[in-house]
Amino acid sequence: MNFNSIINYKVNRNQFPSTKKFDSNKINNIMDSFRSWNPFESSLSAAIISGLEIIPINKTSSLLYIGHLNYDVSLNLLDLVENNQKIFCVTKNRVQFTNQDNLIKINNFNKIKNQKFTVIYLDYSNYSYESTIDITNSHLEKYGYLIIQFSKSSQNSNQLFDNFSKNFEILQEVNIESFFRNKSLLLLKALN
Amino acid sequence: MNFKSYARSLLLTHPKLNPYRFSPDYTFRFLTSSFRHLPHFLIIGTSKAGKHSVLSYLNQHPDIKAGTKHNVGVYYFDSTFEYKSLSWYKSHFPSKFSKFKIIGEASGTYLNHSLAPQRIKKTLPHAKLINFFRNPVDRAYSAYNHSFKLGWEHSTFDDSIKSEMHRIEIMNDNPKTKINNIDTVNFLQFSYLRHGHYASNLKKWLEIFPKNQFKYFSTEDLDENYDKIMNSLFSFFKLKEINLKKEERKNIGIGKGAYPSMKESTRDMLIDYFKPHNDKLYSLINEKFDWDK
Repeated sequence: MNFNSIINYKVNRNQFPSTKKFDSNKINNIMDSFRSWNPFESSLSAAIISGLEIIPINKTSSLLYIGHLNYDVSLNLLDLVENNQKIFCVTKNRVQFTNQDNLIKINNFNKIKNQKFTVIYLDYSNYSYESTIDITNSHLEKYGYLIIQFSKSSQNSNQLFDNFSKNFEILQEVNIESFFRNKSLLLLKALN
Repeated sequence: MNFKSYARSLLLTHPKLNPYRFSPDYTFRFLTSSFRHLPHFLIIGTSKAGKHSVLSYLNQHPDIKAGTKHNVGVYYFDSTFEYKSLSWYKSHFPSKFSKFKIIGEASGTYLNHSLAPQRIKKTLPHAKLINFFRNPVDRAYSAYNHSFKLGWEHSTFDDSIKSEMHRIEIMNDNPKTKINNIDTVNFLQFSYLRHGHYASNLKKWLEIFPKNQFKYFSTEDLDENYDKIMNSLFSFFKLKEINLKKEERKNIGIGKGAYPSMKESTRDMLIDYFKPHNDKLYSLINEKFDWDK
C-alpha cells in the first residue's frame, strides 16, 4: 500500500493535512500519479490521517458502500480497488459522476440479493445496530471486514459498541472528530 | 477552564474575532527566534512516564528552564517537523539573554518515532537525551485510561490490547494491508503495547548517538530517590547540585483523578508479554528495573 505520506495544504486561512494515494490511471506521469484525499469529505481519508493502521480494501476486494456517496469518496474507493473491481453503492445521491464505470449505484438491497462482499463500508452513522447486523448477515462474507462510522454522541453509543463486540472483532476505533464532529470510524472483522 | 484561559482561547481561535489566529505573544517569539536557545537536553521517552513531575523537579534548579510556556514538550521532531520551521521550534524557548543556562523539553513520543533520531541528530547533534522508563504494563494501562477519559476509546482495556495484538499480527502476516503512515505508531491510543517495546525503540537511537549522550531512569524510582536522580541529572548537565523540595506527582489521570486498578489476570498476561522486551532493554542499557511484578 503506497499511502505515504500526509501532505500539507493551505486552504484559505487554515492548514490541513491530506492523504495521498497512488493512482494507477496516471502511471505515465509521475507528478500526476498521486491524488490527494480530502479528509473533510471522506471519513476513510480522515481515519488514515487520524491513525488507521490497516486498510482491508485492495484490488481484489469486492466492496459494498452504503452512505452518501460524494465525488471524493467515489475516487477514494476506486483508488483502493485500483479500478479493478466493480463497487456496489447503496446511495440516495442522484449525482452522476462521469468516467466511473466501475461504480454501480443501486437504490435498494434487492438488486444485490444473495451477493456477498469481502468488505462493507457503512459510511452513515444513523443505521441501527439491528439493521447493520441484517446487512452484514446477508452480504458480508465469512471473516469479511466491516468499516463503519460511529457516532459518539448518540445516547446508546456504549451499548452499540458492546453489541458490535459480540459479533465482530474490533480491530481499531479511530477518533475522527477533527474532521467529522463526534465521529469515530470502526474497523471490524466478522467473527464467523 | 478559568475565565482568563477561556477568554484567551476565544480571542486566539474564534474564526470571526481572529480569522488569522494572530497572537502578539507568538509573533514576538517568532520574530525573536534567532535570539533564542535551542534545547540542550530532550526527554525523549516515554509517554505516560511522569514527564510533568520530572520537569517540575528540573525547574527547581535556578539555571534550568525545562518545558515550554504552555506545555512540557513541543513534539517538533515527530509530529510537526514537516509542517513547521526551526524558527517556530525555537520560538518556544527562552531568549539567550535570559538567566537560564540549560534549556530542555520533554516530548515523550520521540523515542517511538522512526525518523526522530535522524532529525534530532541533524538539528541538535550534541543534545543530552534522557529516558524515563516506566513499567510497560502500568504505562499501557495509563495510556488506555488517558484515551478512555478523552473519549477516544470505548473498548475495555482487555479488548483494546487484544485489538492491538491482532492488528500487529495482521500487519505481520499481510504487510500489504498496512498503511505506511509513519506517525501512526505515535498515536497514544493505538500503541499501548508498542510504546512499551523500549529496547527496539531505543536501539535505533543508539545506532545514531554515542552512549555518553544518554541517561536512563525508571519512573518507579522517582518518588523515593528524586533527590539522587535529579542531582545526577544536574551533574550530567555540568551544573551544581542543589537540595530539592519533594513535589506531588503531576498530571495523574489527565486531571480527573486516579483510575481503578488493573485486573490481576490482565497484569499477569502483560508481564509475560513484556518480559522478553524488558530483558532486551536491560542488556542494552546494562541496568535492571524491578518490573516483573
